[in-house]
Amino acid sequence: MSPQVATLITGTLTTGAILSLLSVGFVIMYRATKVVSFAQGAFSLLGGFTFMALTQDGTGLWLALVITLVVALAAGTVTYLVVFVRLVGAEPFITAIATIGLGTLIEACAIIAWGSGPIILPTVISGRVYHLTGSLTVSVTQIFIVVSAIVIFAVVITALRRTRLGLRVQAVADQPRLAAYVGINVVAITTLAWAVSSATAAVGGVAFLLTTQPSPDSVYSLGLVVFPAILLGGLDSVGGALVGGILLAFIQNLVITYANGTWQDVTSYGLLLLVLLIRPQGLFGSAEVSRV
Amino acid sequence: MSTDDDRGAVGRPAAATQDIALAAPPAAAAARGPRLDSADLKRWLGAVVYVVVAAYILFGASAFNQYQASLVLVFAVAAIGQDWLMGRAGQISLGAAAFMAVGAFTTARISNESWAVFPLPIIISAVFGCVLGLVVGLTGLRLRGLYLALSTLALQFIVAFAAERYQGSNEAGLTAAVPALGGFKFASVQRLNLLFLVVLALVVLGLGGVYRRAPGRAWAAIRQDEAAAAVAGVDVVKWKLLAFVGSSGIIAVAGSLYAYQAATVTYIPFDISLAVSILVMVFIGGLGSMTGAIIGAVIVELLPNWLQSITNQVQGGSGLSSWLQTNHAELALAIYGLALLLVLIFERGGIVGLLNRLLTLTVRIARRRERA
Amino acid sequence: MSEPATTPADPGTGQPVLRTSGLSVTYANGAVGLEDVSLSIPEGTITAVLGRNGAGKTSLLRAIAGFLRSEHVTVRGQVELAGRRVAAASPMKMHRLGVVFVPERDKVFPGLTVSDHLRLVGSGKGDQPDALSFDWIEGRLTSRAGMLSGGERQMLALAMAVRQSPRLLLVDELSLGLAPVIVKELMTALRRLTDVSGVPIVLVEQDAAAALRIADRVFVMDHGQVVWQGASADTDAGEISARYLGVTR
Repeated sequence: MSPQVATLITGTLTTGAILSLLSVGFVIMYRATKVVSFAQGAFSLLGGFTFMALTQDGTGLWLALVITLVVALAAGTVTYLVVFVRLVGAEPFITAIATIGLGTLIEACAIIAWGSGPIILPTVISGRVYHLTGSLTVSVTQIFIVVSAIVIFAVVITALRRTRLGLRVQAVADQPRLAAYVGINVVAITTLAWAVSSATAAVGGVAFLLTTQPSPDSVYSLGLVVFPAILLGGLDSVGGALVGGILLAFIQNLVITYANGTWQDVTSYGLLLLVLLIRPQGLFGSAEVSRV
Repeated sequence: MSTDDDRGAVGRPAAATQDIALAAPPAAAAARGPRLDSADLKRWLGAVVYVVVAAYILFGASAFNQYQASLVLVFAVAAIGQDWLMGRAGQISLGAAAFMAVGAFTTARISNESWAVFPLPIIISAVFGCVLGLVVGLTGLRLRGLYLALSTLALQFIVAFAAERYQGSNEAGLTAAVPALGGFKFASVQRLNLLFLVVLALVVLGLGGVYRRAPGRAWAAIRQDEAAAAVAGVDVVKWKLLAFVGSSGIIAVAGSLYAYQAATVTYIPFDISLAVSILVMVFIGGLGSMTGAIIGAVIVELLPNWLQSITNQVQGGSGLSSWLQTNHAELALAIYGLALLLVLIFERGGIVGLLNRLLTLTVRIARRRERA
Repeated sequence: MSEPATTPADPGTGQPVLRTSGLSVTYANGAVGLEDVSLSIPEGTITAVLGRNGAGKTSLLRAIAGFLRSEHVTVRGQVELAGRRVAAASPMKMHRLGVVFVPERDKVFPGLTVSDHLRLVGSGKGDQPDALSFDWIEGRLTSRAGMLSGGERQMLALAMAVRQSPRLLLVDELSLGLAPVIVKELMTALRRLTDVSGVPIVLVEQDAAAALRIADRVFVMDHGQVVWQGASADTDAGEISARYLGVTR
């Protein structure tokens, strides 16, 4: 196996994991609340900075992760209960713009708190590298990231399909009014959707920081770059979020490896346009989605 | 795009105007007769304010303030263009930066050609903007709401990429020639401001006329509820396309002015955060109002510097002063984000909406006193 | 124009399950939904609420279920559930107290399967599913509700409602869009439910004849007010339809 192919594989899986995490958060929020969130990158940034602050202070990997998750869950909860609960019933146009405002506010506050330089994590994961076959090597970090993403997806999908809570979330996503009529606490479910959405974004942000040392802006931009993946998979499909994330990562890595890295963004967004024009519901999205 | 029936959004200021005019005339304002008079009053007021501010900018302002003013004027034009598309025709667009880039690069490139006599570069930039706007508009016919917004997001990145490639290895960027009309060179900031003021006035007067007539009503209907408008016989396709073409042209003109203002043009300023800034200008100032767009441009352009200037006043507690110094840019961004949220939650009409409410309240109080 | 209100003979089983007095609803735009509505619903009865579109029938149901309190609407007057004042109760509280509302539109979850629907609301009291079971449901458990016919959806909606252990069932426009034979089957099932379990039902209907066939008592509404009330036995469907519903034969 050529080194390029090896890098392509590991790069796709790692970046794919990161993109999928942000995508699934978006999809959960969109399905449950019909809100299109441009703020996923901001929650990623918030999670990333929190993790950085904790680990720089000496906190271990797992504890830092748990605390970051809690902070992100709280952030999502507060955001909904303070801001977006007042926008229930507003047109999608308005809520989307509101997420832009939210993202701007969060990013600015994060940078004020932690600075605008590149975010550097101390070593929290062993730097060990495993040689698989030929030139295919994976690092512990990459394994960690991919496994985390898989675990999270498994949890989300199981929760949605197998638990009473998941059923209620599906009900709220399907018909919010009727859900209220049958006694489902729609506010609680919506809050949960927001909390989970920002939590997955936060994990995605942490994963991103584990692979590189980005500027806050780059982390924030993750929330935008993820749109081609979301559209590709289907706006309202959880499984699609995973597939879309991996596919987009694959295409991006193809461009980086075999063409020119500067073409990465334009290819991603060109793909987005293609999906919009040819098949707006993506690979796995439902047909109603295209009639938004 | 149908509006939630509980939230009258931009409808409220209009209703407020009606309120004043149809009731008995208060002693203060001479509002009598048909609805138009109160709006006319506002227009005259606007003209007076414009002349006063223009005079200040041209003759009274310091060099720094003149520089500030030039940026404000450029973005006021851009915001008005954005408002046309978003506020009047109700189409979401994140493409403002892309259209400005088109205008800026076109002007920077063309203005150096000998055949490109001023104001040709501006006109040609507008044309290019219109063409691109037409393309986006055509794709926008198939896409609605969210999908349209995403396609403009894609547009942003694609144009930014193209601009970067076009600029190529030219690190310093393209230089725009100094505009000159006859022998009169707009060489100084002061003279550029004169140019900008004239362009802004032309845009406002021109669009104002258009908004007052059938096109304005058509767009208002489409903004209210596209499906209902179609049923009522409005040629939605035509008007949507026209809105795209026109607004893109105007934003491209803003880009063209920017090229003259900055003298050198690179792809760097035309990023997604610029598009968001312009969006914020429109919302904070007041969606669906040219005055709002201008107010928004003033606020967004001037706030960071104003924050920074506070540091000079804050002597005691040098901690605060240096904090402001470091963070004034982000603080401004945080304020925009917060303001945007506040506008969307409490007062969709933005600052203009607030002012209108204030006006209605004042008139009502005056009338009550009169009756008492 | 309104008939003098006649109070029907109460079955006299103690206090009514629901009582409203002076219930008035005004919407944000000034429109009046209900005006001074006072009624009482005893145990084990089916009450039909008739009237034309906009008469206030749905407003009445929604006001009782608590849904109007949360939507910037002014509600005045008293609502008592089993003697307990529930003036400012939220929809969730009302639901916990046993008020189950079956809406006119969007009464099932199109994307969920039939078994999902039943799982969602849990199991009701032991005997109630028998009182309102529909044979076809067993065979269609894995079908998505969006694929069901109108009648099947209505039946599913009622099956769901019953499983929520209602103390009071509010049904809005059951017959809309359904064939008469299906309506008859549904109405019969409702009567059986009340007879067996004692759960009172308030039935908002445009099809006066169908409703009167199973109802014990009738309220007719017009412009937010109760303009006629009486025992269904004393009520002529044709006359009501002609006078208050604008239906001419």
